Amino acid sequence: METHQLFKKNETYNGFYAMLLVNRLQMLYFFLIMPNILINPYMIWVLIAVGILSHLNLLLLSKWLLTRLSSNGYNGFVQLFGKKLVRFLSFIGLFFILLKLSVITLGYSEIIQTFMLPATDTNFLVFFILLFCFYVAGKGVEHTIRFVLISFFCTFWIITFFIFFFFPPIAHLSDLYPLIPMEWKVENWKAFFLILSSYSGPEFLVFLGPWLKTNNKTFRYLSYGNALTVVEYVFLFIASLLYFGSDFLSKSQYPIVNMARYFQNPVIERTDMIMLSFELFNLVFAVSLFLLLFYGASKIAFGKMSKPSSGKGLLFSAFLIFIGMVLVNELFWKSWEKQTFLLNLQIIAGSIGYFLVPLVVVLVMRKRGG
Amino acid sequence: MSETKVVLMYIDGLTNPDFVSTVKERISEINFDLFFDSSQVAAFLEEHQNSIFPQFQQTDRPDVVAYSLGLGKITLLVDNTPFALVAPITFFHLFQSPEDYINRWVVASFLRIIRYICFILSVTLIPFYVALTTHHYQMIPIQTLLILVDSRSKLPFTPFWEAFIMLIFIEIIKEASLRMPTKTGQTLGVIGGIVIGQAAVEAGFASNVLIVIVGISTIASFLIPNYLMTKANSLIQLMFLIFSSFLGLIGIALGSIAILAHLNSLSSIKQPYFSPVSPFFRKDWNDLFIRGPLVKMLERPEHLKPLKLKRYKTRR
Repeated sequence: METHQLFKKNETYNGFYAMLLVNRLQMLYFFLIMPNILINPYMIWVLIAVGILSHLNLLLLSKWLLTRLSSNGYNGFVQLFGKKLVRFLSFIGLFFILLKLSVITLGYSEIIQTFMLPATDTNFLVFFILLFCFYVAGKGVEHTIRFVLISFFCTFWIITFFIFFFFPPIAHLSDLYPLIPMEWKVENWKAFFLILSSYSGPEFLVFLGPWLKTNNKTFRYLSYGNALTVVEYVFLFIASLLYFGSDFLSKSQYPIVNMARYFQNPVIERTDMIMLSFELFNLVFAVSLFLLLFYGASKIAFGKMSKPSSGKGLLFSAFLIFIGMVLVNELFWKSWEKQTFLLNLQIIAGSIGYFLVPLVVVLVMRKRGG
Repeated sequence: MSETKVVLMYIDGLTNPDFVSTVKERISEINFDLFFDSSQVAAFLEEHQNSIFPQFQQTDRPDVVAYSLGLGKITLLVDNTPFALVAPITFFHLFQSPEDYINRWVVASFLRIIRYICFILSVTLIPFYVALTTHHYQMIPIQTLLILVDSRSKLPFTPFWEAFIMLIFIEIIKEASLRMPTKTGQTLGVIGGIVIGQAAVEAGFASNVLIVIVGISTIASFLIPNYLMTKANSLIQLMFLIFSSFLGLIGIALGSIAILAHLNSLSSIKQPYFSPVSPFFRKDWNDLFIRGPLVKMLERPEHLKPLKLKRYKTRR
């Protein structure tokens, strides 16, 4: 493993990769539990509205990516914020990454345990997932970004199976009413922030400037990725409404997976298990990318930028994340109330991160006349 | 050190000069006493020595060499060996056969897709059996499950050991048939495959279902046109088998991720090994999983970065 080249930059990737990065980073754990919290049919409009809001965020993001500073990577951020502030922000960023990593990995592991491997401990699953993520991340940022193509091709087709729920006898138009809210409940705010948090992920592209080939079409491609996510979210939410109905949707912890359990063919029953296995491609891709970002951020936070990146450093980061995840799993995730607290924390952190990161970067850039 | 003559062939004005300079540079760096096969030269030219995947295509067919040169690849001829080396290649070139360009495009595409499916079957079918019988019984329809339970009820081994023993057994037969004269090899195949297989079932070492699966998987592995790739197949299968016994389908998925990540990071004379999938070259998909009509394939593969992209002068 040529780990000394973890952050090397030999080639840049065009808008198509940016589109897939946006889409796949938005299609992580939250979309599997989303209908359980959205419940009401009129939340379809909120999904679309927040999707439009996400478009604006991507506009800011594309403005940053188009600058020379973004292609300078770490040095660009130092020019923008100064060395001390960059170190401080990197330190804060470590917690954001660790929280996101914990929620998506533990959430997925729990689903695997519930639906596929009930006798397997989730810590064991987390260990294996991280082990393979370390392998993927060890190939470097370039190859990890490129892995998004493989992740996309292995997962995008899964959604097409859900088209069966749009036809009778399952589909009844009455399940989609009311489409206009008669009252706005407090719980709807949680759903709103969950949606915003679900759309988060592309803000990490801020740090991938050196590897992205940007031009005047960049925003268009980012938008395509986001639009694809909006379509997928709305499609799955409508499918779950048609299948469960608004009244029963809140009773199913994992509505999307539960729906998939009913797919079967004469050769194999429980096709959902195959789908869940394929979904692992997307998780491993995202976790590998976050692992590299975690390692890069920790190098900046602890002032080790002068030292070359190494496989040992990445391994140490993966080990720290594993310890962190095991602790989070034992202390928070396994208890239902505390898990809700952790989910709420990620909902808030994801929303704030997605909202603030592109905004702050562009505002500071404008202030500095960049 | 070696006096072996090596001829580098390419079409001037078509092949990317970077390929030529890279190969020339690497050949000049070779310092070894004896080469008796072109694969040994390839070993010195490859960037990823520890990979199980060949990064140079070995061929003894002049039509393959001519076609490759025409696409913009380079070819090496090594003295005293009938096999030429072709590069840069991608993982997908290993599934292409010269007959693809002789058959009608629909037939050729069908056969090529069959080859890909057989590769996937050959590496995952036995691990899939182990995953299902060890971890995911609920995936098997009840009628099939009854057959399986009946077949496995008297076996002393777990599905993993049952499959592992059969895989090793198949590898022994394959290797033994290679070392024997053709006629003896055929007899060995019949005795090994049918007689010993049947005896293993009757003795209670393996289930009927597994024998069928092993048979399909082994035959499927022979559809891969590249000999070196066929050899790599067994190792991938074994790796998947181990993962599937631990984590079922998740193990197979993790194994696939590892293989794909590895392929994604490989290169053949500095060109990405997994293109045109990753990096993505949309136009090159005309000759990837399907072999498009020749009249539609007006351009050379973009991922080979040829100096002349157009293949024909069109009348339009």
